[in-house]
Amino acid sequence: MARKIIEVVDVSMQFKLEQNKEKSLKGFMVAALQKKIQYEVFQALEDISFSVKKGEVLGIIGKNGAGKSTLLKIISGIMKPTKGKVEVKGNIVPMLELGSGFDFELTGRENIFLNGAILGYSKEYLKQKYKEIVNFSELERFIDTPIRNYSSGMMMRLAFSIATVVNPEVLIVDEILSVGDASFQEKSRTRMLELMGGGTTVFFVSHDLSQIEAMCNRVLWLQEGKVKMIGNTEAVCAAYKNCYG
Amino acid sequence: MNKAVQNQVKAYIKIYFIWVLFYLVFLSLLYIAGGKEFHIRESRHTIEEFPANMITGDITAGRKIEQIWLNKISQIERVGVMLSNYGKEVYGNVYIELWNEESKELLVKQIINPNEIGFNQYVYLEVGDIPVFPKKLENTMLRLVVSSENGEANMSATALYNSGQEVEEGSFFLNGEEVAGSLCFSAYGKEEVWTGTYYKEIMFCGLLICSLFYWIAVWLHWHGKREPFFSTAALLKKYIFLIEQLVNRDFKVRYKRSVLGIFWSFLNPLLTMTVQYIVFSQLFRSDIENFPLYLLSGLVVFNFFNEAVGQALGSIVYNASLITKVYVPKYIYPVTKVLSSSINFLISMLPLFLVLIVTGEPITKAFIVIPFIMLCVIAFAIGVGMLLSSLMVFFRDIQFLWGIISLLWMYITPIFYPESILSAQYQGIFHYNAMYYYIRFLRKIVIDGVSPEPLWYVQCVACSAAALIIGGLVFQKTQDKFVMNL
Repeated sequence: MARKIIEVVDVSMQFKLEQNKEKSLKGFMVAALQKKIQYEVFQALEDISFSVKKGEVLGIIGKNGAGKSTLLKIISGIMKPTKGKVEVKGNIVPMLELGSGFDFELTGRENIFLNGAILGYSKEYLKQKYKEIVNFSELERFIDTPIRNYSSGMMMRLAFSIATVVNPEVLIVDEILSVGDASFQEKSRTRMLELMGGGTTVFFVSHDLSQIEAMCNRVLWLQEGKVKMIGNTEAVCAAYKNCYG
Repeated sequence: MNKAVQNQVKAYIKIYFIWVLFYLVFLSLLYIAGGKEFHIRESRHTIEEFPANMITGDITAGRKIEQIWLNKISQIERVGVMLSNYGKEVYGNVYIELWNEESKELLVKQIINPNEIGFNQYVYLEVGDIPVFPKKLENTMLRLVVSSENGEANMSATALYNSGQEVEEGSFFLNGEEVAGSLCFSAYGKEEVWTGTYYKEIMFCGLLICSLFYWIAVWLHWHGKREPFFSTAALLKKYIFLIEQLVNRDFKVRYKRSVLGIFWSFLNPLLTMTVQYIVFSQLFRSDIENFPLYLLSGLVVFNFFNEAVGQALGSIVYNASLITKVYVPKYIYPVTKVLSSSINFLISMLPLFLVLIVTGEPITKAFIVIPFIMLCVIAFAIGVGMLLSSLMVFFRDIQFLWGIISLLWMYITPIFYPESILSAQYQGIFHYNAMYYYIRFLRKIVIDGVSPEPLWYVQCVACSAAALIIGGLVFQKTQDKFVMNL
């Protein structure tokens, strides 16, 4: 029996949707004095509990707005749940959006270190993997150019290469990322699949059921912030297909 | 005991000895830099010069003007009396004597040529060498006597008094008759500072307390409980690379695409100072000693603070794209912004030293404590930065308010004007201003070449600690709500 690496206990998340959100001090004061601050509470997640064992690939499915991304953000520590807690044993690498830590004034080389540091890699690890990152991105010639001169495809290639060089205990994937031209897309897709198949624990969100079926051991189906179903892949996917045709 | 446990114990002991060594070296350096300022300071019981509203009449032969008061200065150095020659030529030497009223012993006597006095001037009597130990004259009644050997009416000098002034346990006699008010006199001197006298003991107590905290932390850590010491160290170790990278980024980006690059860090304060020097040296004909150095030491500190807080202010809001996507302890953002500015702070010390050398001030051992005051200012900026950056998430008005507040702050801090520009009763407002303490501290070192007295150290540390605690608490309380408000 593999040990539990992540345990989600009774997690609820509420968002306050403020009508006319006040972002100025004066507006806030006036509204507070008039007791006019009204919130509409939006329940993004409600009493979610489940656990994931080491090495498991958990697929998360659900319609838009079902709370998939919120759940991933809570697991990766970006957001704190309104209620409940998440216990994580091991380091998490969230692959939510590529290249968000890039600085356009810096060169490709400098950005590899900056972005790597933001993703939580150590200095030694980055130095050791540096060559691999550059080779994978196919950007050797431009690595000392400020990335403001990069095309968007080049930038995505660099970002992808940095993000996937990891060997984390928990990987969070929001849709399989395939970037760049056709050949690079194929290459990046293979890399993702390799990474997910490599024995790490993976949270995998996708709208593509065939990918889910191919990759996951278990599937979690979220509907309107609640767990609709959790269990083995075939059963949940079948039910999901049934529901939405 | 197995190997792992043994290694852990060894590590605890090793870290402990590194701390102890660091502690001892730091305090010893402080003691060396402090020099005699840690032992003796200007007395808190000086009697400042005060104005007169009455004259005592001509000091003719046989007339005696006497003032008795309770002296609280340990080492009395100078006693002054306000005398006047009415602005005309007068005759007859004036005698000033200082007596110990209790032992009836004459301490000093001075003969003064009345024509050297001038109009309503304080004339000083040098008391000479009275050591701090034994506290010979502290809490002793002293008697000041002004008389003349051969003064004649209408042709001699006079002393002045103020009929409304009260001096502690003081009484004023004109020809042996007590009169309300007090002779216009002043007394200056030094007193002992207990910090210096008991430095070893304080050092030892501090070491005991630190050790106690350390071993408590070790105990908690050993049992896997929460404690501040090792968990902070672990966090620091984990994120030091990120901090390094972010600081590096800020620094590189700042001067990218500028021709002079890093030289701006050096040129900026120097040029600002040159402009301000030209303007203010014309505007205020102030009698500040070494005005360029006075101005620059204030500017360097304040400019750093202003810039660091200005940068830290938006650190959360402008990093929204990161904060909503990757988990990183959020305090890293304001802290790295302040640290990036600190590099500039360090570089801007160069023009300060340049001016120091050009104006011919010596570099003394007191300069060892400059890093201390810089750390205090940096800590203060981090505190304020954390406070404002978290508030900024909820109220974007902070960025505009800060512009105004920092301007006001600059004007209420004596950067380009002397402290004496405000009359004594308003100088109190300086004491609510942390920047005043830091700037005053730095000036004491670079201009006077001596370390400040221990109290100033405490004030600086207290301001920084207060800012860090308040900023840290507010940040801590609000950080979970950042994501929802970005």
